[in-house]
Amino acid sequence: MDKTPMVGVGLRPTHYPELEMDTETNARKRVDWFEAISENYMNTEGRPLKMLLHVRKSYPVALHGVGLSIGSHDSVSEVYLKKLKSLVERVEPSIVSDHFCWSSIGGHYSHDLLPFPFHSEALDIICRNVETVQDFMGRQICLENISYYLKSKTDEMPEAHFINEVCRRTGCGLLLDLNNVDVNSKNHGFRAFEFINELDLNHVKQIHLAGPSQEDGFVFDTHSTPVPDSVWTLYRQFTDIKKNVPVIIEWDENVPSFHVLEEEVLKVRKIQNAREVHP
Amino acid sequence: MRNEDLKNWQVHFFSYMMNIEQSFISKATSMNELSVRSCADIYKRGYSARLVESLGDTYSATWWVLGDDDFLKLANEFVGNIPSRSFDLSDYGEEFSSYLRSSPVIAEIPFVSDLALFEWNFKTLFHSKDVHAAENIFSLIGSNPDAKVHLLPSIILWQSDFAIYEIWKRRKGNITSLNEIDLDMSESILCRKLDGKVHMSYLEESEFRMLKQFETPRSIEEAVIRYQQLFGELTPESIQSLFARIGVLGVLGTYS
Repeated sequence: MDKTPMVGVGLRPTHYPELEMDTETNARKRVDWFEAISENYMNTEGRPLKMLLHVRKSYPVALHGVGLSIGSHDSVSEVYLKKLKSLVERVEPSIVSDHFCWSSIGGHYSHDLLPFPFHSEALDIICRNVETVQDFMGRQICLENISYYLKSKTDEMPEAHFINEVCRRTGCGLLLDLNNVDVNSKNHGFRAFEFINELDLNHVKQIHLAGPSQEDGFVFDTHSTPVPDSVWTLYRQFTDIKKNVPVIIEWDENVPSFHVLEEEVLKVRKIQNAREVHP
Repeated sequence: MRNEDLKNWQVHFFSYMMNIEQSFISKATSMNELSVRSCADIYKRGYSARLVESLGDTYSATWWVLGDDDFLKLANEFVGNIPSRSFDLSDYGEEFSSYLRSSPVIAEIPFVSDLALFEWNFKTLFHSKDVHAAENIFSLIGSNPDAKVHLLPSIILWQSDFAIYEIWKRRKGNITSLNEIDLDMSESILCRKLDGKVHMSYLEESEFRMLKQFETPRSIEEAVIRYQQLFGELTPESIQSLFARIGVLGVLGTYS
C-alpha cells in the first residue's frame, strides 16, 4: 500500500505563541510538517529563529525562499547562498525550495516574485543559476511555478515546456503550486488541468494549496482566503495521476487561527483517503 | 538566442516599478481585458506597499509620533528615492533617520530623527546574537594588562538630547501621554541583547564616556588615557569606582 504523504502548513509568526504553548504541554498539532520562509530566519538570531528550531525538534520542516532570484541575469548572490546554506545546516530541512522568478537586478531588490520571458536565453541562464545553487548547497532544490499578471512579448515557448526543460537539464524538483496554476488560468485564459498535463509530473516533489482574492478584473494570488473549490478540483485531478506528494497549505494574509488551517489539512487528508479507497 | 533580452526585461521592469521610466510597457502583454499598464501597475503598487510596510514595522514609534498622514507621505517619498539593497526586507530603511533629519518635519518634531535611529538600533539588536561577557574580565586583564578590551557586539551605546527611550516606551499608548514627560531631557543608555530580549538601562555620563572608548578595542590604560584627553583628569579613586560600576554591567569582552 502507498504511504500517505505528509500534509502541513506554512509556519507564520501569528501562530508562534500557540505552537510554543503546545510544545510545552507536549500537545501535537494535526499537521505532519511545516514550511518556513527562509528569508525570515536567514538574517536573524532573534525569536523567529529560536521558534523555527523549536518547531524543528518536533516536526519535519521545508525551507521555502522568496529571494533567491534564480531567474536574475546577474546570477545568484553569493552572500545569500552562504546565509541559506548556513540555515540549511542548522535546520536540516526535508526540502529546500524557491520560485521560478527573478527579484533582483543591479544590486536592487524588488521583494516580489517577478516573471521572466520564456525563451532560450532565459532558459540557459536559469539552468546555469540552478546548477550553481545545487553545486553550492550540495543538494537538490525545488522551484515553484508562480502567478504572473503580465507576460513578455519575447516568449518563445509555453511555460510548462520551460519548467520541464529546467527540471530535466538541472535535476531540480518542481514545487507545483496549484493555486498559481488556477490563478494564471483565470487571468490568462487557459485550462488549468491542461497546463498540469503538459508538465512532466515526475519532477513534482511538493504541492502548494492556497486561496487567492478576486480583484477588479483579475484574480490576485494573496494567500488570504480558504482554498477555493477550483483548486480542490485540481488537487483531486492531480492525485488521480500522481500520489505520495507532500502538501503544504499556505496562508499569508488575514491569517486565521491555527485551527482553521488544521481544517484545511483535514480536507487534504479526506481527498487522499478517498483516493486510497477508490484508486 | 536573444542576447541581453533577459537583462533588458529586468532592468526596464525594475525601472518601471521605481517610476524611473515607462518603456517597459512596450515589452509586455497583459491579461484578461486589462491594459499592460494596469498589469504593470500591480507590481509597481506592490513594490511600494511592501517597502512602506517594512518601514512601518521598523519605525512603529516614529509612525505613532508623526501620525498616519505624515508618516505615509514621508515613507512613500523615501521608497521612491531609496531602493532596497538587501534580500532581507527588514534591512530596508537604514537611511530613514537621516531622511527625516533633512525633511521639514524636523522643525515641528525635533526628536523624530533620533527616535527613528533608536528604533533602527533596537531592530538591529533584536536580530543580533546573544553574546555573554567573559566572567571576571578584570581578573583576566589582571594577568595581562595590555589585553585589548572591547564592547560586546550585542551592545549599542545610545545618547540623545531628547528623552527618546521614554517616548519610545509610550508608543502603544495615547499620543497625549507625551505631555507627561520632559521631551528635552537628555539621556545616555546602554542597549543590550541578553537572553533573547533587548534591554535598556540608563548610564551615568562618565560610564557612557568610558564605555565609548571600548567601541574600538583598547587596553584599559589606553582607554583611561584617551578618556582623560577628551574629558579631563580622573583621580585614581574615581577610575577605580568607574571600573567597578562598569565591571558589574558585564558588557566588555577581551581578545585572548
